Amino acid sequence: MSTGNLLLIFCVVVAVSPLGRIRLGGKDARPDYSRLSWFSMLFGAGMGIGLVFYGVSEPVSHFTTSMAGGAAAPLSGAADDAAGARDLAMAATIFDWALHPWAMFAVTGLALAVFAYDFGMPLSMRSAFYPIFGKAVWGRLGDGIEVLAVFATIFGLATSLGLGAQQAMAGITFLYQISSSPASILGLIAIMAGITFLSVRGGIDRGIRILSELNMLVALGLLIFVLVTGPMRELLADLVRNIWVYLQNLPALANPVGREDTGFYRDWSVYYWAWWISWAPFVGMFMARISLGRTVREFIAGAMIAPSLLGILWLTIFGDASIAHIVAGDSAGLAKATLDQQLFVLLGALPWPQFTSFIAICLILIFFVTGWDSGTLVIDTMTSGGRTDTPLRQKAFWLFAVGGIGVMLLLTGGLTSLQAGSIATGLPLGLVLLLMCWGTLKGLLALHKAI
Amino acid sequence: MADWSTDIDTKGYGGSSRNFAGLLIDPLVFFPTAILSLLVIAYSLIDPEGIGGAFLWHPQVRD
Repeated sequence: MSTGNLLLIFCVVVAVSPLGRIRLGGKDARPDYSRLSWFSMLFGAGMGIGLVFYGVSEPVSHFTTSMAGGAAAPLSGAADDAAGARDLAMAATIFDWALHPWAMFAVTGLALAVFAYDFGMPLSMRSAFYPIFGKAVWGRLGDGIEVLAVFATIFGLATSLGLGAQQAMAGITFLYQISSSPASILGLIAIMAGITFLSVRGGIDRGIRILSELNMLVALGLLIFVLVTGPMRELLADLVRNIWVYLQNLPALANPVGREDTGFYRDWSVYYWAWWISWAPFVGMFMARISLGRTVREFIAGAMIAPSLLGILWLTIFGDASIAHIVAGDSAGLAKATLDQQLFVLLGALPWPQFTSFIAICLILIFFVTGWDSGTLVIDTMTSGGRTDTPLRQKAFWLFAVGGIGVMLLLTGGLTSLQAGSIATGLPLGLVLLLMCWGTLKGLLALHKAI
Repeated sequence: MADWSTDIDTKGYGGSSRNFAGLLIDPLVFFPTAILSLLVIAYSLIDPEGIGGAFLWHPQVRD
């Protein structure tokens, strides 16, 4: 938890300091992508599937535990106080999804971009340690950092793919009454593997960019639909309130010592933060690859604030609509549904449930492809010594290795195994990220001095 | 610029990259990660309950 706090503070300090004016790639560098494309790719690669999976289930879970009170509820809950429980549920959910995770991604992306574009070093995790360890980073020390980063990426990505497969299958069961079984999940993942393979073959421009932009439109459409068909005025008012309650509860939620809400802290925050850290090499490298020509300040703001606001909007509309449904009597049985079904139960309570559930499944599956595709490319680059011209079968190997681990963990241990895999690999990497901040700071100070 | 930044030497990076059976890899990074990934998959096929236990974080199941 302290690692996440330190990474967030680092990002804020760098962004507001004179170092924020440094342009990645030099003062004449210009961005390769428009802001919309850049933002779509950042958001889609960062937390697409997870946000769709937990957008309904996390606020609902926190709301029900907060109503009961106790260690499982965020900040021990607000027993029998629906308004207080709602506030805590949304503050805790936003805490898990806004600012902190994006700070973890931004630190990694910034480090990679600074050393690649401004110092001519390889786009590799180890480059950020050059100011600290010198040429030793090209030897065993650097190999160790890369191995840790690859493991974390594989398990973080496998977790997301497992969640995506589980939820897409729940949606298919909801829509078409095809029962969820190991065979059906394997069949679904096999189809998605085929599509992802075609996307990998297409490369970053033709594959990920087109799918990411398409998915942003689909996500926006679904968001507007739930807003318009739900209690729109209340939901919009909730947006401001949620930001306020999040900021109000941020110090308590981010406090790593003396917590009484150990159930919430362990089951949600620790898991999430380890998961985010395990995603940091992948998302960071992806961010760096598409961020040439942005200033450091623009990079941090774009990578941290904009996705956080969009995340808060998504969580408010889906989360508050769900909580409002439960408070109104929960005729659809939302609170009792399993985590992977809750999105579809909510959509089932709104108009045109068949159509919107179909759209939601498409959304999950496209996020599935973009995440798997971009993750595969990053792992391939890291394991090939920075090469991007590797043969297709090498990329295919990583595509199937990541998918295979996701499938196996999902089928053998469910969500808990996926979470544990992320935590086991993510937490050690947190220490690497802290050291990376020191290297990045030295790099930025050197650049600033030269200007 | 600071001392380290005036004499950046990246020649060592990628020096261990090899063409191995048509694959362009850094063996010291590729093999440990690839082998462990395959072992996790193989272990899952051989002992599904064992792998579930190996990756069990704590006994409380949320899903």
